[in-house]
Amino acid sequence: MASSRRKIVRRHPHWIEWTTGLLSTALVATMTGMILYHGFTAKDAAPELAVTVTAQRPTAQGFEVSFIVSNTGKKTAAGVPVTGRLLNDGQQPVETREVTIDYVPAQSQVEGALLFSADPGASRLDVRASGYSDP
Amino acid sequence: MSVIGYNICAVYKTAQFLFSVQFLFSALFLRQMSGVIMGGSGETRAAAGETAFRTTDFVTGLARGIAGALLFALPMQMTMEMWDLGFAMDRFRLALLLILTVPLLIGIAHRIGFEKTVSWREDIRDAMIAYAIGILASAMILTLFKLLTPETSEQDFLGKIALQAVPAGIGALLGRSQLGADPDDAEDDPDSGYGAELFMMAVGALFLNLNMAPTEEMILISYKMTPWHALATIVLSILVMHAFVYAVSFEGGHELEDTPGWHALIRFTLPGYVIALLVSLYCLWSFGRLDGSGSMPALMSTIVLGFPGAIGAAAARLIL
Repeated sequence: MASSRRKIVRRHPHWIEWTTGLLSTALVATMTGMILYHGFTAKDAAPELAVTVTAQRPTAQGFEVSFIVSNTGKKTAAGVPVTGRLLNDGQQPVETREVTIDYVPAQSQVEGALLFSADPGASRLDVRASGYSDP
Repeated sequence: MSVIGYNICAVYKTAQFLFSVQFLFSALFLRQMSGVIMGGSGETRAAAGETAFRTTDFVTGLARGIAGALLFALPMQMTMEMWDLGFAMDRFRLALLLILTVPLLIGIAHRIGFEKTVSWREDIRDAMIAYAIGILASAMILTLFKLLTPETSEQDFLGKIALQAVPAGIGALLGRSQLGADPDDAEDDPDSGYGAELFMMAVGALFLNLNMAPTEEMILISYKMTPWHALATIVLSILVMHAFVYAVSFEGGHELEDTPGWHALIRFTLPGYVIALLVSLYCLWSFGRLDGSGSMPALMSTIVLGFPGAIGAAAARLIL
């Protein structure tokens, strides 16, 4: 029973087997090369976080400000708090809202939104990432 | 009132749909099901005659299918991220997954069918029955866990069942073949083709990946890893895959005889690893884990998920 279940790898197979095999080898080698390159260039990498406001719209209970957090660095940032403040003329915060983004992967971007009760159009809006931790 | 009424209506419609699918299969194939549906061996079928319907065989078969669906799909049915995906997953990606499952199930049914002469028509029938068992088993278990209630929205309701039906359907087919002990099991066919070998590797990889891709740990591990850890993961994945099949002499392993080891490495192990990577990339994309992600983090999480995928692929070559 046990011997009948064992398959034998033939010495001279169809050419398709070699073609598939060589293509796969090339793919794995390319992937390994990409990671090696990344390994040498991404030494002492740190996240580079930037927040861009993309849209503002009124909602049922106030105003929604959509944003994109992008990380142009070569390291992933975790637990990124994005703080939005509405400032009056004297640069004093009128309203502060915060949302935490779980992960902002390296060279990636994540969308999110803050909900204000006052109109962000009426005062100066300041949105920034206020920190990160290592994943 | 109207919202509740609408939801109850949706639940009713879904239930009606599920039962009509099941009824359709039962009614259409009642005659041919005798013996073929799970468990009946060729000898008993021949003795009983082709037209006789054997209730015990049919019920045993269904029970084996449900047992398989439970055995293989429970880890996913008890995973929080899978519930969330039921409504959070992109509808087109979910639909694509559901459509791709059909040829996948037919392929599995063909590969591990009950007899060697099984025809494609019978494979399609078996695959669809397994899919229906998967749908029913998922609906049953999710209701048991109070994840489906009359208040669940229609999209959520359908999404949850549909997503769970994929692993449960595969499980129903595997349960039938692996839990049954038919002497005329076709899995011992030693002349299985190269394509079949690669297909079974994809099935094995997909199975372990469906278990793990929805969890947050996959991307978290890839964020924690440095590129050097990723390189080590690639090397280990390939080594484990090769060793599983050629070195450690499991039952169902493959013999090299006078063929050099590196032949098998290039012709089977490396294509298998590439398949595991592609399947893992597909799973991550399906579950929205790569959205907005740059190429390097995407590659890293593919490699992380490719590790269990590689082990699943190697195991499938031995088991199936």
